[in-house]
Amino acid sequence: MHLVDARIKLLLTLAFILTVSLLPSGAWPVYVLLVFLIIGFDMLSELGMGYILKRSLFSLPFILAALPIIFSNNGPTAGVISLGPWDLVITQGGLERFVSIALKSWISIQAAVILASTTPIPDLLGAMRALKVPRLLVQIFGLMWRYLFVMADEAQRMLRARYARSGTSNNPDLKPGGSIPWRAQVAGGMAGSLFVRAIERSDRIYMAMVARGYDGEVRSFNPPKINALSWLILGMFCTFFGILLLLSILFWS
Amino acid sequence: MHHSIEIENLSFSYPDGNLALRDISLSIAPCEKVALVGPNGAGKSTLILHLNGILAGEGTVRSASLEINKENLGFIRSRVGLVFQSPEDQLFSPTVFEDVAFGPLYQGLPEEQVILLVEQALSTVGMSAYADRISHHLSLGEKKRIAIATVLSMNPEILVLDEPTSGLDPRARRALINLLKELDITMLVSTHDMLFVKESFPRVVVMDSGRIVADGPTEALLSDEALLGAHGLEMP
Amino acid sequence: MFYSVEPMHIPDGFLSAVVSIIFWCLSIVGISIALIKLNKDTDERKMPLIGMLGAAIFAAQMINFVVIGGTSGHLMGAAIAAILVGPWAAVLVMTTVVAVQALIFQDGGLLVLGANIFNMGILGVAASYIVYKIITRLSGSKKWGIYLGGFSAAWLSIVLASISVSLQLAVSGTSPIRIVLPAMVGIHALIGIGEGLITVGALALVFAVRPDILQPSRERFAPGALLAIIGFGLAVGLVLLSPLASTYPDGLEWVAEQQGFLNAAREPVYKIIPDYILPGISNEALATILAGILGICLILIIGLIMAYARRKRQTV
Repeated sequence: MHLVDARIKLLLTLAFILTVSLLPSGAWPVYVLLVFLIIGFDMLSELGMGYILKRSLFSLPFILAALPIIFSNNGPTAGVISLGPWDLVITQGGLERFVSIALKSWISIQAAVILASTTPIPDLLGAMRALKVPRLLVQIFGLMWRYLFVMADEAQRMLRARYARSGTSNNPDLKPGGSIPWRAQVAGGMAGSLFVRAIERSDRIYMAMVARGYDGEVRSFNPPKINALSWLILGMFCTFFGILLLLSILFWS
Repeated sequence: MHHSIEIENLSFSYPDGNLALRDISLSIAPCEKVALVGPNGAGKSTLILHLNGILAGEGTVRSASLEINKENLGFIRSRVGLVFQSPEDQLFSPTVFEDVAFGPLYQGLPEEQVILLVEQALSTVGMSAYADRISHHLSLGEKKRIAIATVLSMNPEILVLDEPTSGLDPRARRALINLLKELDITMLVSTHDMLFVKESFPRVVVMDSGRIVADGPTEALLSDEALLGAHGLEMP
Repeated sequence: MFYSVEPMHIPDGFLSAVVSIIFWCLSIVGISIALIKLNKDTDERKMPLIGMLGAAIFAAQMINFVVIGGTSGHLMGAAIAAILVGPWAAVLVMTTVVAVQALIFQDGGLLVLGANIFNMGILGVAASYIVYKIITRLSGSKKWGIYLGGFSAAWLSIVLASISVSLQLAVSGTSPIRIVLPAMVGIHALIGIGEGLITVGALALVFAVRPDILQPSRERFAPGALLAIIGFGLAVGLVLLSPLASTYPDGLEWVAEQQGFLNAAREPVYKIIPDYILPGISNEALATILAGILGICLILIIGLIMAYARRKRQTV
């Protein structure tokens, strides 16, 4: 998985997620097929199932937004839940939709995890260029990525400093923590100092770039050509996805 | 038993697997001043982060006679003042006053008391005139002293400092050394500044590769060239 | 992981493909306009600035403050970005932040990235910039104006983004509008307060340390151009979404729900959800969407009139 060209990977991932997204609700055999497919890719990526599972369950809380769909009127009733004075009717169609959304989301995230974890950032940026993302934007990404961890470290050190001074006094009558607005203001001040530092740093970076001849135009090496085999693989998968999609729409819409 | 540090068999690995501390045992008596030396990567900073609960490893750590566990964290942080190496990220409020006031304010102390504590802390570090200055605009030496004040305002029993003299010009360094000499408080200082160690600390602990390799009187240890050389240290 | 999950970054699978594509288009239009506007400025200093600020906002999102018990608030950043570097640069800043969050950390999906960028990077930035500019103009760039403007801008950016998310979810048929809109807006009206407070804290520090960054003359405010773009975008969105709301089978579930709710005779659940119906319009989803958008337009128009009125007074 690490060896595949980043551009192909990106296109493949996008095609995969698009296919998953277009699948009609309740097309269980296709979903099962795709689950196995993505697990197959998980294994190929050599990232470890635990790692992928952990990252893929990251967005799980968002599923709450789709929860009410279970109770929408969509076909025969599957059950009733009583919550005090309210009886919520679970419908089969609603349940189907909910599970479909959850599955689609879970499968898609795994694809994204594989893409991100098996592709070095510079290659990913190159892949974005290949998708015609404007040069300036890609350059901004690169710079941001370069300084992301620097600033994140600074933020972490600030958090540690704050933590070290967040103490409970011996006086049991005093409640530690201060007021919420005060805490928010302190947090804001910490964020603000990151911003000031970023702005001042960017001036120095600009001067360093100018010193190396930067004139506003971004130039970079031309990426190697994608070999025919990669195109073939991409083509095969896209055809496969297309057929899968067609069949599922025919049978389940 | 207050004002002391007791560490028993402390071991710690970072999430990436790096075994940073191996079976550390250390005991510091009330009002004792101890220097912590060793090459980079020896685990000095890692050890320091265990003293107020930021990191937690296997073994026991008792600071100010309180064992460090979840319930005690708040009290520990009030009693053990940690001053990190870079003042940049420790001064996170707009003005000096607000930074020094953070600790007591967080504890919930009334305003008049907070103002008093801030004034005391600033005067102890010799920066009384700086209360309304913008932290961002100060020099490194000034920032380092303010950083110490931000911790002193909480009236800690123990002071732990990571590389307090690094990066300072001779004048600022001298001011800082004198300041620390005046403080009558249990102190553990991690440093590369060997002259500072010789001048200010009767006891020195040498760390290397996550272990304590020597612990004893400064005079004796610092004249042992073989020992120093073996652990990447030198007397200037 | 760096940050906690909040209900703003939509994952893949929650929006229909049509909605995803529409918002990709809107985002691409918005980003392109921002790029063109920036190129016109011929200020190449902006490039490192945008990248660095993106990194700073990303890192700043790690800084939380405890609200109650286990919950904590943290920054989204559209408002502070718009205030610090102006709307066009802020669009790019937020675009990179949201994109990196999705691409590298899977906070937000890839197909729905267009929608997430639109919600936070374009809508959030535009609304906060306008509000901030209006309030600071009205207050004569005094300190209290900056803080009030910052708070309002931040609050509005969160709330508007949440409205947008709700509409996207509803039209995709993922959540019934009667539940998701009040729920999202309710939660985010509170979260918005947190965003407002942090933004004010950040502004206070920047004002103390580098007041020159907040100089009013940094960006020339052209309400006409900005409003035209937003109005156009909203109109396009509305035009595209309304037929979907009536013909897209899943989007019409709320009608079926209404039947379902009525059939199950569950009055209590039905009644506690507030009514968003405008009189005289029978299509409920459309009415809801219209109500929300009209509200936004109303605020913008009022602000525009006030800004022009003030400017007229100044030139007299």
